[in-house]
Amino acid sequence: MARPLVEEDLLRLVDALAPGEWQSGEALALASGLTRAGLAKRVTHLRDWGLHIESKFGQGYRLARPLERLDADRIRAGVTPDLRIDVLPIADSTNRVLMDADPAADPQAVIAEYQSAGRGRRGRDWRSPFGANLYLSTAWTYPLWPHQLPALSLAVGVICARALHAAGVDGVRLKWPNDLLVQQRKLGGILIEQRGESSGLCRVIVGVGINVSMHKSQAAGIDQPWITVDEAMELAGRPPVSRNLLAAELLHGLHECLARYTVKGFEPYREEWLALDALRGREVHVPGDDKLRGIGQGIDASGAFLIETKAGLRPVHAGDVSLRAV
Amino acid sequence: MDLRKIKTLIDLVEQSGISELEVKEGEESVRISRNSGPITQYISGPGPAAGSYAPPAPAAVAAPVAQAAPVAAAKPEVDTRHIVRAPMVGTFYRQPSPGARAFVEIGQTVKAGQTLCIIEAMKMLNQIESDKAGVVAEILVANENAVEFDQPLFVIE
Repeated sequence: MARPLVEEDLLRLVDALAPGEWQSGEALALASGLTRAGLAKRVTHLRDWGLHIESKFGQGYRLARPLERLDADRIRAGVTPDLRIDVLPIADSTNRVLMDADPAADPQAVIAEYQSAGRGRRGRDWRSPFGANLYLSTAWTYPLWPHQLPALSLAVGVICARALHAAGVDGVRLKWPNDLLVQQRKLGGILIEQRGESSGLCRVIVGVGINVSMHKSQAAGIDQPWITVDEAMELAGRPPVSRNLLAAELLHGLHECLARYTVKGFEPYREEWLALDALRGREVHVPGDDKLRGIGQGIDASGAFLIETKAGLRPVHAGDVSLRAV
Repeated sequence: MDLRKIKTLIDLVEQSGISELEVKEGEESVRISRNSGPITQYISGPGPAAGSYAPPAPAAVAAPVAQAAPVAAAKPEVDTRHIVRAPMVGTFYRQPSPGARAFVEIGQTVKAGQTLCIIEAMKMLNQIESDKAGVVAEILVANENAVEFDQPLFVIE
């Protein structure tokens, strides 16, 4: 009788494939305790998780690129012990996992190898192939709503750019409010969800997705120009970045930011945000609002994006800001 | 257009969760808006151009226009009415994601801590919870409209 597809077996196979070298079906089956037929079935399943597994007659199987599995110990070693960190092979979405987690355990973080239902803003999909990128979230509970809460969105963008820089990735810019760009292409995104009564506790969940080594065959459905950390490093002529190191930098930075936000608010991040502004001096518009067209002029003290329109300077608090097609 | 037809349209708006519906039949048009509870605006003959209708001030009494049939009778201000206000500037969403069911509908009973809507500000999605248990009496803002700080959003009775 065929064995059911157990997650542990699948993960053992991922580990066997991780070095990225060709291995015969026999050797892989033996290493993973599977029959050849069982192996083929599991390879199919791993491809559904988004793993880029190549197969070749006479050569066997290999991962297109070596994979550095997430390592809970290595990540925790680089982050304050005040933050509880769970490393999961699979999550529907890391924000969702924290949404359902007990707020009493905050601050807590979740990082996953694979998201089966990765989410962007307003129901948009976030491509989350196994092991190719970073998907992580941190939850924080404030006893009272912090002053300037929405601008936390921009502060988190600054923190991510800093973490990327600390891990060796340069040239990151921010597209208001917090899209992470390199060479005008999207390197990562941030989804912040918050819940609370307007006069009481406030729980914030900050989700971050960074493209690390995603191959274009894994990126079906992405409707905008994108780039990976690997590609950015290659263009800069530098060695690849460790996923575990980058994860630790991001989680540590987020913890620090969330901890001090309630005291200091957005002001400590404003200058840095302005220095990273990808839209400054460029033609921009807010789709759906013809009056909000003009030149990007940075942000105000509340974090609102400023557009120099024909009718003067106008702040934008919500909505998408796009580069105008020239 | 007879009253029965208007009532059917109102029911349709109620059930669908859309915020506004306009139906034209020859010279007549009816617009049903949920901005302040269901308000029916019945215009006979050439009326104001479509789009010239400004939503009434929040919690204002539904003012009949022409031969208007105010369906939701204006309720007197009493102490049992609790207003949930916007804690920030942003965009008001009644559903968790486009196409999903609304968090709450008029007439629905809600618990304290239950999510009423999302306000998006700077790409932060804020789930606004009810700070009181009761029945949703009015939804004062149309879906995807901009809201100001402290603007009344819901009336909970």
